[in-house]
Amino acid sequence: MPAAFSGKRLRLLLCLSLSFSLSGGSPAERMMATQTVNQQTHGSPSDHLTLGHNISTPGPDLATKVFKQASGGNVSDVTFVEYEVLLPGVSGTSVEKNITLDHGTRIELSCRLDNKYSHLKSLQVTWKRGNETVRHINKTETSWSIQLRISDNSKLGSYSCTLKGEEEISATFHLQVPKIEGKEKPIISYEGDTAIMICKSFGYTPIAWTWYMTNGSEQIAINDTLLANKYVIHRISANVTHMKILKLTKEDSGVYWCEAAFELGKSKGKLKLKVLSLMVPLKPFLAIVAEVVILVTIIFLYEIYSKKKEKSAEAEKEFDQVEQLNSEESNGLENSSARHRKI
Amino acid sequence: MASPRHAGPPDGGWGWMIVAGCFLVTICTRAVTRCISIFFVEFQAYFGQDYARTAWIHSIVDCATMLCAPLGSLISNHVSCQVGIMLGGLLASTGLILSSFATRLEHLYLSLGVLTGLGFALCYSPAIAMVGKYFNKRKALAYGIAMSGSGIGTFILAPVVQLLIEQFSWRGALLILGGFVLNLCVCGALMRPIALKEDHKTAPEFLEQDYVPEAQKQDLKRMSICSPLIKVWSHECLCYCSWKEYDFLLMPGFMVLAVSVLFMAYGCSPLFVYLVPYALSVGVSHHQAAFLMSILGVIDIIGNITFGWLTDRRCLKKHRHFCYLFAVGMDGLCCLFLPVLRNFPLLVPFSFTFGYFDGAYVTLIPVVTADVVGTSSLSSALGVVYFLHAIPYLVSPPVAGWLVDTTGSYTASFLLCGFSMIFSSTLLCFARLAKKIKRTHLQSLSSDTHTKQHVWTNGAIAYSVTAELDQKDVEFLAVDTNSYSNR
Repeated sequence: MPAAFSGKRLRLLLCLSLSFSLSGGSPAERMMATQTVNQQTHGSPSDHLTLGHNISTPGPDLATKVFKQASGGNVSDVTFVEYEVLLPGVSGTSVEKNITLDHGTRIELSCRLDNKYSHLKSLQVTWKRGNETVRHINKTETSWSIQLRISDNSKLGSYSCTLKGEEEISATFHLQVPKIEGKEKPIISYEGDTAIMICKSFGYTPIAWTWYMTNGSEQIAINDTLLANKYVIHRISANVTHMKILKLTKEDSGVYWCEAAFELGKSKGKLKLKVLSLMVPLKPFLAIVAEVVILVTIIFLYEIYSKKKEKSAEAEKEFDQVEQLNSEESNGLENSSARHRKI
Repeated sequence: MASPRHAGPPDGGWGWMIVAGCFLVTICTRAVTRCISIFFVEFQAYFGQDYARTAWIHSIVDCATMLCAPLGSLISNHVSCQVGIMLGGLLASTGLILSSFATRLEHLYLSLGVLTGLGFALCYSPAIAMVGKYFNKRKALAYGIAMSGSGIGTFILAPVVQLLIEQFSWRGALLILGGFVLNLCVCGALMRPIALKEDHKTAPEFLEQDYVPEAQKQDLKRMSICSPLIKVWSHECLCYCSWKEYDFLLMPGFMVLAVSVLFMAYGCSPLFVYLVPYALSVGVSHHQAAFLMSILGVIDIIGNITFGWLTDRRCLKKHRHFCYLFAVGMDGLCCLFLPVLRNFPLLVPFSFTFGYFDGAYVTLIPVVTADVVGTSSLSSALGVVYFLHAIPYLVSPPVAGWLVDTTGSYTASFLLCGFSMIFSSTLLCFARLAKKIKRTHLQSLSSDTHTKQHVWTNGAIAYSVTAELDQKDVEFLAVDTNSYSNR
């Protein structure tokens, strides 16, 4: 009996520890996370339930981003995102935040004043997009927020909240489509060769890709079915597109654009192509070959010259030795004849 | 026509030109091999292949360079060092030029992998052997300077190759790199052959003048049989030549060295491949990981030169073998500690130590080989030693990768590398101890009999006593008799 009970307690402990570990992060973060996350387990399964890391340090340019699950019926296929900015107490400085959206969302932007500045009285808050003022501001004790439904390109832009009191404090949210990066350095290729241009989208999946070439100041879309033996466009994966240009000529040099179409708009990346002739790398190559040939010739000539010098030095030495031997022999002969004579 | 016989290695003079030539050879072979990986991103984009298939090119080049090293020493022994290296330079350059016109990745495997690798192999070991022939007292320093070419070359060539790719695309860059590699022909021209009196294995160095003519006669006889330009290539001539060249293979000292080199190459190669991924996995940023590799490279160069200079000092010269196994052992120890180093401030001293001792033992490999087999067969022996590097280089990184995948951490593979290197150094240590015991035993034997005879030996008697001993003992006794005769 005690064994079974202890077993159950163990299992309970395990379950508890598992749930703690699932809520992720370090203990400090975990406590913060439970404050701001709405764990509504009843809801449409298509929504994402992500626990955000709520790092609320008193820095002016840190925002907390928290995902909430949609609890409604007819917007169940759209995620709801909340962005919050902590305002600095210092006037004159402006806080900016870039938010990237690739599909329709309901979004809540809020400006929150830190607790230490709550002594600032008589604050008037306005939300603006350009010159247009946004109504329906939700106000709490320290935060002011607006809710927007972004469904197409016209709703994107810069939204700013301004707090007018004794001083003026403002923050701006920039809502944009995802940016596509092209290549700053030009792609080099050669006449007759094939050039491959690659465009990638990081993190967001575009609906379609289109390639444009620049003719003067116009941008002309490239139709690869029409010019199938010149251009080949491949969508390698959802986020990557390739364009191959075959049989390059000098006229193909120029600027090309790859455009990614998202639900909320389009985004372009710039690529430059430069077509060189084969002579261009050949010149340095021939220069190096010439240098090698010259050096090898010099070294071999020097070797032959030093060998000749050694040979002549040796020949002289031998000549001297032979002469010495001869003189010794003649001396010896004289000595022996002298001895004979003496005897 | 024949160059004069030198009394011993010149230790200077034209020798420094040889060192410069070997330095350039190391740049053109090892550094260019490492820089080939810079092209991989371009190859991947152009040919539409993934990283694994493009990385094969680097493996093929490395493998071909090491596997064909014996071929390189064979050609330079039989024909001439100059011709061998120039031929290698032409082959490597042709490989690079052909690969600039490649239309498929498989063409690159053949031209950039096999042909260039073969060309590099024909240059690398003969050039290193040549340095050993020209230097004796300052051998380790000369090797240090020559081997530092791979580190310095990588340092300089990497940004240059990147610039070339940006300016001329990979095709143009490969073409220009082919031209650069043609400088191997210049290095080949510099490698003037030198005929040393010790270029024969029948008579030890310390013998007196009147004994030399007979050894010379034997040497000439051997050279005339083996020279293919003069006589007909008969079957027995080939067998005799190749046997004579490779009889160091049966030397016990060389066999121990070969086995230890196998384990050492097995241990050191995965580290360069897996240091950056390991650093990234413990939370080091990309920039810091790249910085670790740069430290490794730069300290490698410093280790090359300083360790070479150090082991040339008279006090350490006798203990060169010990310095070599100390360097290998320290590298192994560093590897063992690596799994517990889990942040950037701890990995930096690891890079320093590992890089330094890696440079150190690379410098000493040719020196130790020369000490074991002597200068005449150094070329062939180096060919075999570098050949023995090839299989571990090929096998070890994939095995380490498999270990990482199955165990989920880098600990097992790093421990295996560390133990492999420590085993290599302990093997050499034991072999040395065994030799020392044998030598002291022999010394006690020879010191009993005829000490007085050594003073007036005319070579014949000394030769009969030393005939059974191997090279090292001959040198030892040479030192002994020299000290006796100097009194």
